[in-house]
Amino acid sequence: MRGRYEFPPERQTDLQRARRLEWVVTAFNVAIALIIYLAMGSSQAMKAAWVEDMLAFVPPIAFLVSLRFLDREPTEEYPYGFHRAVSIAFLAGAVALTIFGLYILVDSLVGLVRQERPTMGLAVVFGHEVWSGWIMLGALLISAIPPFVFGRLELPLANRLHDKTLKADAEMNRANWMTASAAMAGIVGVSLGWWWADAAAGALISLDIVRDGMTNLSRVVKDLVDRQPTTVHGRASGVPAKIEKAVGGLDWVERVAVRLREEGHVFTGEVFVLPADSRLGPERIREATETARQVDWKVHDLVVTLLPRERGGAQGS
Amino acid sequence: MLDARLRARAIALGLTALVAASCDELPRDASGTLDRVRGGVLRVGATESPPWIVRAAEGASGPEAKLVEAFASELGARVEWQWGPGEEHLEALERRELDLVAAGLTRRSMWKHRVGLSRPWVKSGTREGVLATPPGENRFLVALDRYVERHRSAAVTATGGAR
Repeated sequence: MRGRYEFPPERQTDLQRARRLEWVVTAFNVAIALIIYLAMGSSQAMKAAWVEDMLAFVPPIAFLVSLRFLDREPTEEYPYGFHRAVSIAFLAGAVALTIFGLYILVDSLVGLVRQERPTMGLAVVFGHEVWSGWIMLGALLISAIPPFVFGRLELPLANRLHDKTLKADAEMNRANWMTASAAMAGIVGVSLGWWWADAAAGALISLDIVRDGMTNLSRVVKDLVDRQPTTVHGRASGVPAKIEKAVGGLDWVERVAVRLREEGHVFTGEVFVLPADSRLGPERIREATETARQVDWKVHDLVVTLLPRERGGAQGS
Repeated sequence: MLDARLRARAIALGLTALVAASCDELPRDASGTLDRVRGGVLRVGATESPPWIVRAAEGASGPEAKLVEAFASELGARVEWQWGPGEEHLEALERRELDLVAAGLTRRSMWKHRVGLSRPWVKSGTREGVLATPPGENRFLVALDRYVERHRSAAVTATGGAR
C-alpha cells in the first residue's frame, strides 16, 4: 500500500539543510534584486541582471513549496500521494531557467542590432566623484558571489536527495553568477569605448544558459511521461536492473521483470514475478517487496505481482 | 631580501600608478566626442525654454546657455548653436549629429534611456535641470558631469539673477 513517505534518517539532515539553504537563497535574491535595482543604469546587461534576479526567485520557491507536499499521506482524492509535486517544481524551475536565458539572448541581440550604446555618467558617492560604471562593477561583483557559493552548496544536496528542483536551482545560480561576470566584462568593455561589449558578452553567456534550460525542460517532460528513472544528471539510474537482479536471486523466483517510473524524489512501479512454484502466496510477495526496497532508498511504492504459471510450461511475462 | 622587498614596492607603486592612470583614461568615448570637441567646435542643439535658455541676438542667453558656453571654453571649444524643436535635436543627438542638447530638459525626461543625461546643473524645487549628451560617449559625459558638479552653486545663483 502507499504509505506516508519518509526520507531515510541519514537524508533527513540533508533535507533540513536544503530547506534552510533555499530560505537563505530566497533572502539573498531579495537583497540582490534591491541592490541591482538601486544601482541600475542604462547598461543592457544590468537590466538583464535584474530580470534574471526576478526569475531566480522561481526555483528556490518552487522547491520550498514542493517540500510542503512531500510528507503528506495519500488521500482518497489523491490515492497516489503528492510526490509529483517535486516534478512540478522541477518543471517550474526549468521553465524559469529557459525563459531567463532566452530573455538575455533576445535583449542582447536587440541591443546589438539597434546599436544601443550604454551611457553612464558620473556618480557622487560620499563626496567622491566616480564613474557610475565602476560602481556597477562593484555591485555586480557582490551580486555574483552568493550565487557562486549557493550553487556549490546545492549540488551535493541535490545528488543525495535526488532532488532535480534543487539541481535546477544550482544551475540557475550558475547562470546568475555567469551573467554577472558577463555584465562585468561588458562594463569594462564599455569603459574602453566598445559600446557593443556589454550586449555581446550577454548574448554569449545566454547561449549557455538557454542550453541548460532546454536540457532541464526536456528532462522534466520525459520524467512526466514516465520514462525510466534517471539521476539528477539525466543518466539512467540503473535501479530497475538492480531490482531484477536482487529479486531474481531469491530461490523461489524463476523470472522477474521490473517497470519503474520517477515521481519526484521516489521511484514507483511494478515487479512481475514468475515463481518456480505456483502455490506460493502472500508471504512471498512481502519478501520480494522488501528485497526490492532494500536496493535503493528511492524505491518507495512497489506493487509485486505473481504471474500464474501456464500449463505445459509456457511462460507469461 | 631587501632586493625582493624593493621590487615588490616598485611593482605595487607601478600598479597603483597604472590604476590611477587608467582611472584617468577611462571611461573612453565610443566615438571620441571629447577629443574631437576639445579645441574644436561644440555642436549644441538649443531649444528656447525660458528662463533657462533663450535665443539672443548673438547666440543664447540664460543660465543654461551660460553653462554651455563656460563648459565649451574650458575645453577650448567654440559653441555652434543650432536652434530648433527639442525632439528633433534629441533625435539628431542620438545619431551623434550633435554633441549636446540644451533645451530645459529635466532628469525625468523620457529620453533618459536613449541619450546620456548629465547630472543636474540646477535644482529648483523638485525640478532638476540637465543637459543631454550623445549615447555611448561616456568620457564626454563624465567631463560634463565633473564640470556641472563644480559649478552647480554658481548656476543656481545665475538662475536667481535671471529671474
